[in-house]
Amino acid sequence: MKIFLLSLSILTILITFSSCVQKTYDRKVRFLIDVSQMAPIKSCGLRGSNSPLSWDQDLEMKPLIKDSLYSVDVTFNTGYLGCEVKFVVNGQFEFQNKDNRRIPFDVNKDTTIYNAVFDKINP
Amino acid sequence: MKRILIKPIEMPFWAQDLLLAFPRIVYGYLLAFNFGAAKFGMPWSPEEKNLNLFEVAFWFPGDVADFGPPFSWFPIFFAWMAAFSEAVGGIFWMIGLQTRITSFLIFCTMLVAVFLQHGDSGMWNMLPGLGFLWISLFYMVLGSGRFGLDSIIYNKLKK
Repeated sequence: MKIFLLSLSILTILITFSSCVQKTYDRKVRFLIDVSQMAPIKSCGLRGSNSPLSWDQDLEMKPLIKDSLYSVDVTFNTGYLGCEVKFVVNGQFEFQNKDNRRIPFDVNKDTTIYNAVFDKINP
Repeated sequence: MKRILIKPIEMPFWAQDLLLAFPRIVYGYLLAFNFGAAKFGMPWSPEEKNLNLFEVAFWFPGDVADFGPPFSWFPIFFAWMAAFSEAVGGIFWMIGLQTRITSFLIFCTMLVAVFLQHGDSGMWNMLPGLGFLWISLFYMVLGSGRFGLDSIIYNKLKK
């Protein structure tokens, strides 16, 4: 009984005094993708692991230059320091059966700018 | 009571105890360093997860709340307990400390994970959690066996 009460007390203290839940922040990322090698472009989208992105459906990217440069702004409400994404052009995933793109957030800037070329690893 | 909880059931031969310790150590490692560390702040949690010590990942209480009552009444408590059971319980499993209590906590966590989190996503997605669930059942009965701290502590208390 003593041990049970002691364990319960320790657990209560741990839960009360530890910060418990990770704090979240809004992290804005501007994704820019060069898709000129895939022209003509019927659709261009972004998928990823953190809300509002998902792996099940595209977040539509808008053309800055038709058939060449597409863009979308995403605001993540997250505690993580980065996100994982893949671009989808004309219904085709980049990096099939390969690792996702890992994008670290630039915490010193209001918006992280991420430039990419479809299916090419950033240097 | 204290002794009963930690008293391990020992097999007739030490090799049998060694064999039975393998799943506990391997699954403990997986819980502590993989599944648990991704959602609960441990010194070895991945850096990009940005988790402080004993902090539960931001998304987890929301997921737990989606399971409905009673989880939605205390989502932070249940999320914290589940993540703690995995990350810290995994360590306890590895070293065979308080094996029965740890196994009970992991059993409860996996019961919820298998039937509430993955219940609708097909048998294939339920299998990893089911693995932990069955393993925890065995160690709730057996305790740590010869190869665990429980055995050493029990033998010291017995003297």
